[in-house]
Amino acid sequence: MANLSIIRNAGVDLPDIEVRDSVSTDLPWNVVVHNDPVNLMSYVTKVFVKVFGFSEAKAKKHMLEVHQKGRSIVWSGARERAEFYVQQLHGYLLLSTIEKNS
Amino acid sequence: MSQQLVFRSKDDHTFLLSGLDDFLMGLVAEIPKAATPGSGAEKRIFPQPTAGADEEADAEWETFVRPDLEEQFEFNRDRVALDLKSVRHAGKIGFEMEIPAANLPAWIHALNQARLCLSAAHNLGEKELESSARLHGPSGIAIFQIQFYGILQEWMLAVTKDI
Repeated sequence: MANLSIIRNAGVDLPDIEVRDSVSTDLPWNVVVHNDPVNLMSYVTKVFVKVFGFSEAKAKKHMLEVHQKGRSIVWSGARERAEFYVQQLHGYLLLSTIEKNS
Repeated sequence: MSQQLVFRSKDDHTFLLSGLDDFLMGLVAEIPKAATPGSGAEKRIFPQPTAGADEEADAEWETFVRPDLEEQFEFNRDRVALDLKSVRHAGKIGFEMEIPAANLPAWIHALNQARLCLSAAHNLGEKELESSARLHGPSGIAIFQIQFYGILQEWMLAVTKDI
């Protein structure tokens, strides 16, 4: 949200407007994939290629990050799109969540 | 097991799974049932999208998204159940069945569903799944089943470009 106090202090008349805090919705959202001991590495890699259109190498990099670090941020952006991706990942039974990018 | 378990291409449109003895055939026949989430597996099969951070969003997900996912999972199970009708006994080499190439994605997903449902229902984590020392009792059978389904899944993934 822009800081309007500078303009007010400069003597500029501003119309009465309703200002809403839209910071929370504007923040990028992360799609996070979490590790689980059952999904096969080859399966997870193929799902990343299918859902995000990643190259094989990029898909493998994220798969290994999930495996070794327990989670990987596979996509960031608007919430609606993030939810769409999580729905796709849940359809493939990958443990995934959306998180606000802090 | 005297016969050799084989998964191979029969022609451009069909794969053949053969060499299944009675026990392994039983496990294959059980895929649709094993892939159906019971109460113990619900949480894993239908996880919350924000893991409780946004209760409203999680509740909406349950209402609007879960039915689509249920339908998707059911489709995979039904497709496998349909293909299981082609099972035949081939004498000394045991049971065999044909799987249309177009159905491989449904098989791969159903096997994955089954593995996740079994691990959730039997509370099997990384430690249990990597250990071969507990292959007894219901949990031991579940571990074997998960590993066997994993082998089938790997074979099918190896011949499938698009899932």
